[in-house]
Amino acid sequence: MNGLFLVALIAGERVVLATEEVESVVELEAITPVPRLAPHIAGLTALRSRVLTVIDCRTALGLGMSPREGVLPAIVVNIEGHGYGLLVDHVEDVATIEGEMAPILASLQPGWAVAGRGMVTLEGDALLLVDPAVLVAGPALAAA
Amino acid sequence: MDEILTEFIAETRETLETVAGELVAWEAVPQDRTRLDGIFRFVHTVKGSCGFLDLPRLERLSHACEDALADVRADRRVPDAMLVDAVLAIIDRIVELIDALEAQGVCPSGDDRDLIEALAERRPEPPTALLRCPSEPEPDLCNEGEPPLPTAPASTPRAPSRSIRLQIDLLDRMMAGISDMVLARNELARRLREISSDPGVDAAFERLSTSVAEMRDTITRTRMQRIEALFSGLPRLLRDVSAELGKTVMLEVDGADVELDREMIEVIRDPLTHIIRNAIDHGIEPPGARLELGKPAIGRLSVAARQAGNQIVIEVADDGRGIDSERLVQRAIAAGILSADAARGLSAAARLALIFEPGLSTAQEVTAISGRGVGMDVVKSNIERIGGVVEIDSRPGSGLKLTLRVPLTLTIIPALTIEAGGLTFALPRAAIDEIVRVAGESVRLESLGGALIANIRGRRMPVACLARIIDAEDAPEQSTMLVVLKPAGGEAYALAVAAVHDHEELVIKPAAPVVMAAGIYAGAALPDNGRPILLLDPAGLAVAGGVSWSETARIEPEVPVAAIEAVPTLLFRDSDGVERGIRLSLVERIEDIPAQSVKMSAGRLRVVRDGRLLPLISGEGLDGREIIRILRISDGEIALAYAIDTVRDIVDLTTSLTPAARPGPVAGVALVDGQPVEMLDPHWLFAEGGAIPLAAEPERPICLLTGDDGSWTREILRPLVESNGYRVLFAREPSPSDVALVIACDAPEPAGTRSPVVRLRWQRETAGAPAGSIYRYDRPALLDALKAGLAQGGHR
Repeated sequence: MNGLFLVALIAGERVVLATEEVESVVELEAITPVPRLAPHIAGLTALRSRVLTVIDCRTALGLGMSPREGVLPAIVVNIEGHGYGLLVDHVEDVATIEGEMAPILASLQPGWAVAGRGMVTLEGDALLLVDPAVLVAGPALAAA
Repeated sequence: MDEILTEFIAETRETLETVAGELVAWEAVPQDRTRLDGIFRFVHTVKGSCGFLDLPRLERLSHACEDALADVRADRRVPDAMLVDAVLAIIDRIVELIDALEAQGVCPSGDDRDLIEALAERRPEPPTALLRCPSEPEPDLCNEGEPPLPTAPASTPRAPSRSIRLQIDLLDRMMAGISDMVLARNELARRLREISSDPGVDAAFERLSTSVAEMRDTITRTRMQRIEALFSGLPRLLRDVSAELGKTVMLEVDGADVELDREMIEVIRDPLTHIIRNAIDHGIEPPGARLELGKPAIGRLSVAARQAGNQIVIEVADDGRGIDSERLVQRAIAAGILSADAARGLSAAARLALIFEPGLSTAQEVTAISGRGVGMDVVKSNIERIGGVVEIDSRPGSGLKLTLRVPLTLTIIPALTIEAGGLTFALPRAAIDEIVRVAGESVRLESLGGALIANIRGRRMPVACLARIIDAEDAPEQSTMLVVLKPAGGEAYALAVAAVHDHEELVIKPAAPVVMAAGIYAGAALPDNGRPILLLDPAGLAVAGGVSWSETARIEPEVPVAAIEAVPTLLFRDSDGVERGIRLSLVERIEDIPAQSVKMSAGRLRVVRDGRLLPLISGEGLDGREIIRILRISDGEIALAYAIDTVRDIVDLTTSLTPAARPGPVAGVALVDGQPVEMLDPHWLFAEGGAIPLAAEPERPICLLTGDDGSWTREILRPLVESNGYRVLFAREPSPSDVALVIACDAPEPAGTRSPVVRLRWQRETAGAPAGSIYRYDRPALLDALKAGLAQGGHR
């Protein structure tokens, strides 16, 4: 379970993502809203010549809504050939984590319970390892 | 050279390079089975391709070699030096032939029997062969009657290869790279406009910009491939399918040189295969049945591709039985797709469109070939996925034509950008019929039971409001532009939008599944302004907007095609100063003639042209002119001249005609740019100018038109009846007793009439129609009936 992890603040919670699942960290400027979509889809944006689908992680977790205007930090992930930008509160750093991933001890909020893969320890703090695919799929899956 | 052949040569060379190493290793240790497999695969592949490409000499060689190696693999034969030599000799010969094939385009003829025998004959008694071999140095490389081919491949002059094989994803990366460059260029252009006034910088940027554009075109072209790659497999498919079904079908292929995006070819492959299987299975009748129907025993299937603007059109036509739309409707009702009520209201096009419903098939039995429930719905969705449309044209009894229209490349789709609810979207141009603004009498919105209906020059269609579909807060009156969309297989509808912006070529990429889930998008694109845009899916919009075909069909009456057809029309000012128009197709040419060539002879004006006397039709105002401008008009047999003043314009006339009050040279009045223009009645002109003068008005027998007296009857049927010598009365008018003929339009026979009755039916199909009825556009039958009525009426 040793490896590099991206530490980010999502919906006020410090979490980590496996770096091999993360393409890059970017700042998004303009999001084109797209009607008739699930509420956690903030819209589309352009990253160089690619179109990214922007995911509002707060909404995906059932925890309200992120700001969708201005310069927004986002984590770019690629799931089944499609690029997504995950809107996060803040991206902290990349950290090396050693030690095994532990099962989650507490009973989490429903959204986090589905999105969390397990628990890792960084500098003594327990952090949730998040599955980006669950955030992309959104509350429909999170509620399941 | 043939593209497949080139590919075959390239592929064979490529495998050969890898096999070369194996060959050497095998030569050292003939017992090594693992080496053998690679060589076996090579000859096996060559054999397969040669059979397909009709290269019998190569096929025989590789076949013999394969047989021998198969024996070794199956332990029926012990490999020895003899066998290795023979196999190597054959592979060398294959290389020589491939080289010759590439250089000359054809495989040289020659005898390879010695090589093949070298493989086989020693099998029963290898020892003898072993003894014989050393004494005869390479006996098997030369033929007796023929000059030996060069034996060492290395010494053969080989033309440097002009093609390389690339991975598609490399091309994709190039395409993405160039798209990035275009975006960067646009960004730079914006910045330069803000700061630069240096002509040197501007000129350099201009050069860069041009070469980026050129590069984009070139890279786009690298993805193109001839559609031959798709068509070349058809003869085989046809052979297999028709053999299985006991039918004989002749294939005609046209336009194999049309180029299409490689990826597109792959997407079309399955739908095309399916359509062809369907055509042979369901369309073309068994030979016996065909003969009974008076058709040739051999069915015909034609597959043609052509480029039309930014689209590739692929037509598959057969001369089979067409689609029985009545049975289709029955099945749809039985399958619960359609209610019996809804079925009654369906237009002919909507009935045919049922073929695209999932789980519907008109096949009476499930065969191995088709009719398994995966059918035309899959074809349609595959084609639509790439921004294409499927059109269907069925002539019951005489055949079916399916037309696939697909964009030239998968990646670039011509699109129209539109706006609604403050957002910009793109629509595929392929699905757009026309764009109109709601204004005036010709285009207006009507409200019907809470739904909106567009009336565009008399053609009614349902309206889907984009702002409403996307839950925008636009006031309905902001959506003043109507984009008439025709999704594949569905009925046309009008999409109300706030604004229509621009035509744009968009690089479309599939959107993420969470976006496609909305059901109204077909893909995403990044236009040159760098803001993502979504391509709307016309079929999905129709469903989301509540105007999908079943509902459409109920409110849309059958619109006579003739009423909305665009007629190319020559507008001119007549010699009497009145603005008139005539169908352009009738005008042979426009001439200026000296006034003295016009003569009054045999009771009418005539003009001498090309040694012939042409009747001249003219209004007033010819007096005093020295030069008279005439239109030479012709119906193919009769030619006549029509004097005019000046030619105004050529327009496509789509408005319907207000009929003239009296018969005469003018058929009616049409509005052109808001001005009334009298349209000439060509029939009257030829009747007047032709040899047979028509009977005077009072002597005309009466034809009574009953039933429907809508615009079709009045505007289309009536002129025909009148031009055939009748006086037309409608049922509502008091009718005299001496009616010569009654035409019942989609109506039962009027009671108590003693006159002959002709019944017209609206649908082409006979199913469900009264016996003896005539399809309303069956012109010959209708004319015959009119003639018969005239003959009878004349006897009274």
